[in-house]
Amino acid sequence: MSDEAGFTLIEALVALTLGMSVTGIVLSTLHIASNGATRSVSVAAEAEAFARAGAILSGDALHGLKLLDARGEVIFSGQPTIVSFPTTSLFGGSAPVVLRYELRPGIDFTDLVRSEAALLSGGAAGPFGAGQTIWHGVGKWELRYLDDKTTWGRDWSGSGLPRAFGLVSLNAPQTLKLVVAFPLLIEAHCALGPGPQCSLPEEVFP
Amino acid sequence: MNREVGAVLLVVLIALALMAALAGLVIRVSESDIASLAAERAAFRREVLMSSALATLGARLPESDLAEDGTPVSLPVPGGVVRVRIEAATGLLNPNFSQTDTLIAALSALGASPEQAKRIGLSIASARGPASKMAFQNMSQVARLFARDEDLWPKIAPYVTLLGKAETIDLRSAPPALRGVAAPAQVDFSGGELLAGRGFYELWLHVEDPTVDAADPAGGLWTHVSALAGTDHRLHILSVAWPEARIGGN
Repeated sequence: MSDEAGFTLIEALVALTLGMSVTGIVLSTLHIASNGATRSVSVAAEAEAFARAGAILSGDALHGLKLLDARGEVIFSGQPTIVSFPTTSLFGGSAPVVLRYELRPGIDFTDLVRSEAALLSGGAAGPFGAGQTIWHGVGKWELRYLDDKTTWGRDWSGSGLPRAFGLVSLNAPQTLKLVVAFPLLIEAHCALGPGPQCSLPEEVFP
Repeated sequence: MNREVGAVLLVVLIALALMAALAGLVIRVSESDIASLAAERAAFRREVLMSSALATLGARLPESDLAEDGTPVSLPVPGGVVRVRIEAATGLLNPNFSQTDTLIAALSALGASPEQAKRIGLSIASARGPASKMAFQNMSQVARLFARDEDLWPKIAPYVTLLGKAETIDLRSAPPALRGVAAPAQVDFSGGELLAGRGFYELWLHVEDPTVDAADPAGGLWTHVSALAGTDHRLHILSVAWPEARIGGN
């Protein structure tokens, strides 16, 4: 019997057990690595999404305009889920447009949608175009506005532009995740010097 | 048997060719993705540094580092360096207030034919209302008058300002292309004057950064800022235009 070629039952069982053990270890290692990679990718993707949305928002705020409507008030609307303000157009040859950022809530997520409209005479906005989702966040989010006294509020009711606005998760309302600041803007009417439609003090003009 | 081997070899070769094509496609798509990602990162980086530059100038204007005759200078800002060209609005063409003769002469000096210069100059003058009003509130309104002369507007645009009420072009701050039509200087001017005075300025900013340079090797993208340099030594911004190629200039 011992001269016959092949494996004994014991040898075959040991080999099978060893093979299954090695396969199990490899699979569990792969599973752990895969989970880790998924988590890393998820965190990186979240950071990338914030960076991307922040860059778009900051770019728009940098090109913002302080324009007055027919009543002589600065064109800016700030609500918990919608913010809109005029900027120079990326494609319109410096023609001002009105930008709108809207937080659209889902079941357990929130989308930030950016859309543009033509700026009509008198400061009204024309019909907004099809929006583009620039950010997708888990949970419920709202907008906050920073005033000159460095206080953050849910709505913007001040005159002029807020110093900045930002996004806040309702799960952690004390932590602003994305803050967008406007440059030191003056009204377009200041181009003619001091006057009733220019809030810059007269003594600042040469 | 040989025929069977040949058929197998053929199948293997076709499979290899398909795999090579697939691999090439994947590499091509990856390269395209990398290029678009790099361009996106460059745009983000440019916005960040531009914002930093404007915040720096808004907080405090340099006393003696910025020439206002259009000579580019490097301005260190937190996070990088921004190249800045400054042109005083008094040395540029103001479609709201420039005299009609000045308009026509300036358009001609900037490359318009005599017929174009007269036609467009008169159309600008006729579009204006009372002297206290801004008939043109943004550049796109001026550009519309060049609708028939699309090639001409890019040559003219860098020399147009909507800031201030100057009726003539001041020789002291006029760029070389407009010095021939500028009004005589009130004081001696030897060029290279620094931003000592205060007033309205058109600024052109270009970010100097390896990430941005890689996406814009020609270095042609400049951001246009219209601003007031106030007596409070701060830059007060009226508008910032998205980066565009700086055509013309000196």
